[in-house]
Amino acid sequence: MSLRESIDRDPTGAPADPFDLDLTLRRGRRVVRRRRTVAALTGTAATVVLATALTAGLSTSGDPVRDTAVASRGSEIRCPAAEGLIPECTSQVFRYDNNVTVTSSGKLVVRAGWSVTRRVEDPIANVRTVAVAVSDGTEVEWALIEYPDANGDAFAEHTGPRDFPGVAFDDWLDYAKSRWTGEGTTAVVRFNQAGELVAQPGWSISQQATGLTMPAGYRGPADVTAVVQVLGPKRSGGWYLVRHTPTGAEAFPVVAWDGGMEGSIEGVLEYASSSYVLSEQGFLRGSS
Amino acid sequence: MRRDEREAAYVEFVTTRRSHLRRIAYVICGDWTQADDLLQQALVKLYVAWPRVHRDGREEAYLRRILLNANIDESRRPWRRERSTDRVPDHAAREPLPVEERSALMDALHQLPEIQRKCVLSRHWLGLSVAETSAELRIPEGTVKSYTARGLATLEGLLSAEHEEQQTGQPIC
Repeated sequence: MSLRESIDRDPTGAPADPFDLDLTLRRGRRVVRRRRTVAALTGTAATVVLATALTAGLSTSGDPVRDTAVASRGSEIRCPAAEGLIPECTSQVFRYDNNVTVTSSGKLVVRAGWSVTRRVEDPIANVRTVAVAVSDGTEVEWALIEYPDANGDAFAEHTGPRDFPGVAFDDWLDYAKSRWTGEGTTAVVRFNQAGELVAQPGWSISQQATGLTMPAGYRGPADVTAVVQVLGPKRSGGWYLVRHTPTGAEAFPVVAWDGGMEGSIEGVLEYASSSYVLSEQGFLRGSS
Repeated sequence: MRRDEREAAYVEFVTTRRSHLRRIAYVICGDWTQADDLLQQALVKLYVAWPRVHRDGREEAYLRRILLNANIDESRRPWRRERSTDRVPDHAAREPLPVEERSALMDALHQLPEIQRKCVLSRHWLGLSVAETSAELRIPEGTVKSYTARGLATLEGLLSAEHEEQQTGQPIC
């Protein structure tokens, strides 16, 4: 019997299919809407005035749930040990053993025994998100959470220093933002006319390599030709993949999961080649 | 394309092909929950790309590429992104399948390194050529050949050991 026949006839049973067509359609429509919004913003962002007007328009035309989310910002619900005393503190709220979440009504909820140690509202432009660090005094969890839409759907990412040893919360957040949006920062370095990287004000370069051709199998952002390590006001020893842009340079922070990146130009390239999650790059914008 | 036209064609495709695609996702992932999540994400992407993909008649190829290129090992990491909600789920949490319900073949397939497994499945289950597999997985044709050969050899060894173990009742060390 061929392998194909063996697999086709494999007796492994399938559990009930949880597929929800309506949910899939809603999510698809949402991504399409978001792409159109981003395209509109890109096409008309010639003036700050117009961009501001658009942003204001988006804010006022948002759905009621989002408005609720904004109104409830700045505080969080700390769940008591006993379940059921507060409606938001149900076991369904904390999925995958997470210790912090945002409910579909936009409330930040923290598991019993845990408290918020850092909270950054709206770290991503034009997308309502919150980044938090929570701790129970022993363990630390970091989360970047999108405020849910009217259907209660939202992206969220939960991790922590145990997954990113030696990495500070702000460094992880820069990295997570870049992956969520697929965008780098222009604030760190730029190319000069000789094609060399120079640091932006407040930053200094400790290592750099330019004119690079990415190795076979490279899975990082497209058109990258340089790798740089910078020292700056928030980052110490942060690594970036850099590409030319018409206005200078776009730099993508690289922070390796589980310490799996050697601190050298070669190490960053090797990490980006073998472990970078291209499929997750820019997913917030609905990249496919 | 108007939204209702787009959605009518999309719904028809998903309704017709979903079971088959779910099976592909499972064989690639080796885990039904992960397979369902992966297919759900792939179907959302298909919705977004539908006008272009449907026009070219590449719906299934488009989904297959997403499934094959999903970084399965990556998504096993302790950090992940998800869709969160505080709505009570419509269905009870799924019980994992008992171990004995997963066949020796599936177990052996999922002991292969991910890229070898994908090469073997692409070539010997999905029926793709070396060139097609190379394009789908974005690796050189020579690499497809060597990974496929290594994967098949490993698979054969694992299944032989399993067979002998069943015959003798003793684990093969």
